[in-house]
Amino acid sequence: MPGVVDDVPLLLDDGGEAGTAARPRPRRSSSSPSPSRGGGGATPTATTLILLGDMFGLGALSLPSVFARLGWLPATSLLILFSVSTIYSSRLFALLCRLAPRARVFDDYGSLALGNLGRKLTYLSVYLCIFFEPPIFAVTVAESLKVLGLFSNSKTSIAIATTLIMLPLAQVKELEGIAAFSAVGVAGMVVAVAAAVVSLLRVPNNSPPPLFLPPNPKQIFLEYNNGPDNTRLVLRTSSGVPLSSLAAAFFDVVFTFGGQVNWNRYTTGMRDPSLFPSCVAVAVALMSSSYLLVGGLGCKVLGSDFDFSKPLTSLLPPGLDVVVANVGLLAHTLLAFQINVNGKKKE
Amino acid sequence: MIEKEGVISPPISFSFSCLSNKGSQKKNLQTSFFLPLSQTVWTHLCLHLTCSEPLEGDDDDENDDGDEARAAAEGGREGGGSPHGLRWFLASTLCVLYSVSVAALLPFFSSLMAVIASLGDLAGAYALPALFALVLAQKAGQPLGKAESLLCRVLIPGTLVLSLAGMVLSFKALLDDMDKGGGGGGGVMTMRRWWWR
Repeated sequence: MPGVVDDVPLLLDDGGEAGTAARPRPRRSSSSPSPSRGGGGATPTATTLILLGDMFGLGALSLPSVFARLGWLPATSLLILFSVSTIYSSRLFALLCRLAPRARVFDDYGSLALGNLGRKLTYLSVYLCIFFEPPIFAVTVAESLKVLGLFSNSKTSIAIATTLIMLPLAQVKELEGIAAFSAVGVAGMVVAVAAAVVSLLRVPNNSPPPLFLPPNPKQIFLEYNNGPDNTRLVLRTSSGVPLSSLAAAFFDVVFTFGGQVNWNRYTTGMRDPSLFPSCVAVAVALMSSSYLLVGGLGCKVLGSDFDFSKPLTSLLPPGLDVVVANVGLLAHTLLAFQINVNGKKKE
Repeated sequence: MIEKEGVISPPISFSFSCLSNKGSQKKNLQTSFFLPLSQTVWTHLCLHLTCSEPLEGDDDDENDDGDEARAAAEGGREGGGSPHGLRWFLASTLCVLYSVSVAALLPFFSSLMAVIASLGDLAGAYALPALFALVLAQKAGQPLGKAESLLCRVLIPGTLVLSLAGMVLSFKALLDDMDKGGGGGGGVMTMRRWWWR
């Protein structure tokens, strides 16, 4: 409601305990509780690890296709650009934390700044994004199941299997019951990426992609598949990479560096929120190194004539490492799909 | 302190809490590692938006009641009754079915990811924080420096325009993937032809 800003002390006194002195504002969004500050809170090391676990996810598996579509130099530049931008974004969140210490969730900042309009803007963008995110997990689970060959590869059986796996997990409301498994999820992603890298190293290199934009990937893709059904779709007269494909590659990178919706909780949960940008810088440096390795190596090995619509783990030749990669990915994805901070408890 | 406020410190009290000086947090194996990408976030949001109870008021006096009502509506833990459990089941089932259906119709990892990112990732990371920081700093009497203020004023429209363009183009990339095959049935292809051509 407008006017709330007048009711809330925006500025936190230096070394103060604004987060505890005043009663916490109610959580407008159900997405999360917020840790409070003062008297405790996370160390920078803990926050850095949390950030890594939060942000290092499925996006990494799309990076070989980003390199293939954009070319080496633009893709590398984009990763560097978003690394720097992400660090700047963390500065904004640290600033918001200082200006509005009582904000609990992202839309609280909007409410304090612009009233209901601020909340609506948040719901129309950030929270809308959350609503559309679950299918990407279902896609990944389905891809992993296909590669692992646990079920028939028909779409129907994969869809039924995915539903049967996800539905029971979706009933978990309390994190306490599955928190121990969340570590498995984080480890799963690390294992998936590591095994994918190992797999890439044993695959003979394809024709390396060019420094800049490769030839029309749509044409290459269709020639690669070369099926009679695709004949009508070959755009032999087109030239250059389709803008939509470039945009998809760009936003894959955006997705890879996404996850800021939670950052207000990380900042308010830190003992010293002013150190948050440093934590993000360290996390981003580590993530970006992995991204460059996965994207660059993946593109070097796979070339630019592979199916961009699939994650890296579905593009590798059969082998034990690919099985390991997909088991890790499956564990990560299933847990990522389910786990939430359901952190309210009775007083 | 965390307990005093009735909430658990989620991201901080994960197992990494051993790195924190606050030893009491060790047992709180909460995590938000997967929060932005989790299904239960979806369920929570769904219940939050459809909740008929007075979730909370902007008036602080209403906070406790609002929190309790919302907790009951969202998780069924406070209320403990079957209606809330049923709501959770329905919302979570809806989410799973919706996810699996979309995945079956549009199994395109890259372009689907791009569509999702274009919807809110840029706004959430840059446009909205910049906007809120500008306004809050002004209200707090601590306006941002000239350079940073200018940067924020560029970021807000810039990222929003980029997001809008991204939505259109990523959706186009998704449709192109459908044209190439591998996606959903004829209904989707019909929609694609109707929409884009």
